Amino acid sequence: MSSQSKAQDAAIIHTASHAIQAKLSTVQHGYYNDPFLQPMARGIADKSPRTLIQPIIRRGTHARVVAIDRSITSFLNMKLESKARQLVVLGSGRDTSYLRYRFGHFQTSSTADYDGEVRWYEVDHSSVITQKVFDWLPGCIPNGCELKRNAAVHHSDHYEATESYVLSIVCDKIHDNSKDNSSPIQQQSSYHLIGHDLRHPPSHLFHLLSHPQHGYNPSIPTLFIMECVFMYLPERSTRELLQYISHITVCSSSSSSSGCNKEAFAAVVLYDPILNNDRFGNVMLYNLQKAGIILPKRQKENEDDDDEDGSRLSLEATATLSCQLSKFIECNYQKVVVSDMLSAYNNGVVQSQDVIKATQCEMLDELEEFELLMRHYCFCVAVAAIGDDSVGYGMVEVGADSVMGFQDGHCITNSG
Amino acid sequence: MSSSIEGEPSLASSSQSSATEPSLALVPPTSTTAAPSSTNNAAPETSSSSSLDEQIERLKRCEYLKENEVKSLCLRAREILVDEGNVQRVDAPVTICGDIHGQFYDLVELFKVGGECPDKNYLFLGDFVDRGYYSVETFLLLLALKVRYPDRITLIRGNHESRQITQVYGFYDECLRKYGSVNVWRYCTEIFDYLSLSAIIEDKIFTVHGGLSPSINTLDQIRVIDRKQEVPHDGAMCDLMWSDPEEIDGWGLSPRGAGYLFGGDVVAMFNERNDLDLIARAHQLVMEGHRSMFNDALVTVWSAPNYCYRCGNVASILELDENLGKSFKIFDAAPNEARGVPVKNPPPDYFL
Repeated sequence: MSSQSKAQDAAIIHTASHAIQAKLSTVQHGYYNDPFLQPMARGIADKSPRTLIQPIIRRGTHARVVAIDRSITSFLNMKLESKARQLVVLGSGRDTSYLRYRFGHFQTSSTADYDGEVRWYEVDHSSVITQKVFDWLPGCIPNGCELKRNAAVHHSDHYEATESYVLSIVCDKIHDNSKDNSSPIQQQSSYHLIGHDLRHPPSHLFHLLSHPQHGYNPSIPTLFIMECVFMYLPERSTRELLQYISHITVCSSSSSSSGCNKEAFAAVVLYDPILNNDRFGNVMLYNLQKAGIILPKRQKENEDDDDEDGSRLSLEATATLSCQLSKFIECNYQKVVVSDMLSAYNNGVVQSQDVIKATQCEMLDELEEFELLMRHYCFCVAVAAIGDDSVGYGMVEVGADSVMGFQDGHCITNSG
Repeated sequence: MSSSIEGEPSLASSSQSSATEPSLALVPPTSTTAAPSSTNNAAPETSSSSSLDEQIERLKRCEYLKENEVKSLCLRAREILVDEGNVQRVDAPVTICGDIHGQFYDLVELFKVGGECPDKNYLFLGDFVDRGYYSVETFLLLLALKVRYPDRITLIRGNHESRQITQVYGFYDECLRKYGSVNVWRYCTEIFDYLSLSAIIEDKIFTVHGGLSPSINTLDQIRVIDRKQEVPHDGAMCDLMWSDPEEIDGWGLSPRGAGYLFGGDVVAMFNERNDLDLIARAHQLVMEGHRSMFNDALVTVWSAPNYCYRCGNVASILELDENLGKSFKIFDAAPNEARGVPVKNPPPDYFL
């Protein structure tokens, strides 16, 4: 690996620090509550040169958290026969969603009342996973509870040597029952952290996930969350991953032997920048390159690489909402809804009480800039399932009854 | 937020200055007598325009002034600004400029495009500071030009010329970083209180940072505002700096959380009542640099290209000839090679 790409890897990994600093600032200004951020930010919060997170970043971060949270609670609240659910957070970094779920801290109005078995997977660079398990998570565990590492699995193959962990958080009965708020404490869950480089083949990832210790099963309804992850990956890798997910989901539900589940579906939630081929997008690309987060225009390393598009970053190759929509369709997702974050914010995905809450937290002078910025992020939900009536399509409903809040005229779908 | 700052020990007791040296803060804002510091302050060069020219040259190279130089400059600026009206009279020809926001090298580009001061007359509509990397240099250059050529350049106040807002949007932190103390921020924010609220060009074109206020019907109502204070959270003075035009009838609530939205009917009535042809204002990012509304009864001028080094917009200035004929000059962000020695500034922020 060249030193340039090593530096780039470090810069990408560092974006997790950036994301949690933005969230910390957002929480400190009262937008939402997340007691796990401070301990999860261990080692970065104080020595950061960026003492000044801007109000537009807080407001947009709040919108992002609320939208992703809504996808999680909508998924967990779906009425399914299956008791088991799986969530896979790709490029999880310092994400605290599992902890907030585990301890009933989700802030959306419809808190999950789901009490079935949840397997929660996080996937990131091996170095990030190791730090999370040993350095960041221990400080996040409340008094009266204990973080248990049930297993560490060592993997090694053609692509990488890596480790994965099975964790559980065990609490004494008193602690788990003493919460006076109505949201339940989720005990029926297991927590898996998987070291994997998403540029490597998805078969490798799913091989790890399917390890008996982790127990990933494609015939169980699964929510995949990709928050600012695809942007850093080659277009080819992101397509392979999307195709792999849809493929194993559909195959698992069609091969009706061995306890197959006709409810099987995979819902993918994607939050990513879109450059929109305009000046703001051009400047964003330039700034991200200058920050070393993405490499400048690929050198012609592979002159014989005829798949010019595949080696470009997804950020550049999937530059518009309609590109995002087409990509999901081409990767065999039956139903897709895409929206930019400004529409998501103004038209239903972010609920009005959250918008009101944000305006109460602080004044926002930079309205025009906020709108520009939000128009350059997308929020997409795509479902891969068998048949026309899969219950999984509930995640991509549009209209007054949409569980995700997608409204007609404010999003694009492949079904008109 | 500002109360915590005001609660800190005053400048006079800080280690930087002797106890006998009065600070700007200790002088009553309404005082028009010569600044007492000019006798105590051992800075003989402050009264000579040649040293001011030298300071302007330094500022034009994006070098910031020493703390005591800033203090002297602010004291001299105050003597000039205190005599200006809330609706400052300006003669044509003049070039109207919108928000600058600390984008120093783009301000230099603006002067290249529009002509240097004092060769050309300038009217800046506020928001000199915050957001960009060089609020200190930007504001001090404009202030030094104001002191050197008081009749050639007019500065009016924007909503960012405020103690509270500058603590959120960067100017406060920049002063602290560049000077190691907040004294320069104090001097500058004290001067902000003296900046005029609006200007009127040849009795026909009203200029203001934000817009109109439901509590203001006539220019005379602006003239009687006691402006020498922090920008209030509401009321006429706040609205002038915070309001936005919108395609509505009458007045609306501003999504910014301060000021109002005002419609074309409000503008038409205000212009008729005050015998005006046009309202020129800034305050809102316009990707094309300028935007006319309400059958050319109002224009927005935006002068910060690639705003926040992120937005990709072009900027403009509005040139008015002696007959108030209008022409816009569009300009782009200063080329990288014009930005001098690269400084390691934090990259613009995104959601990552």
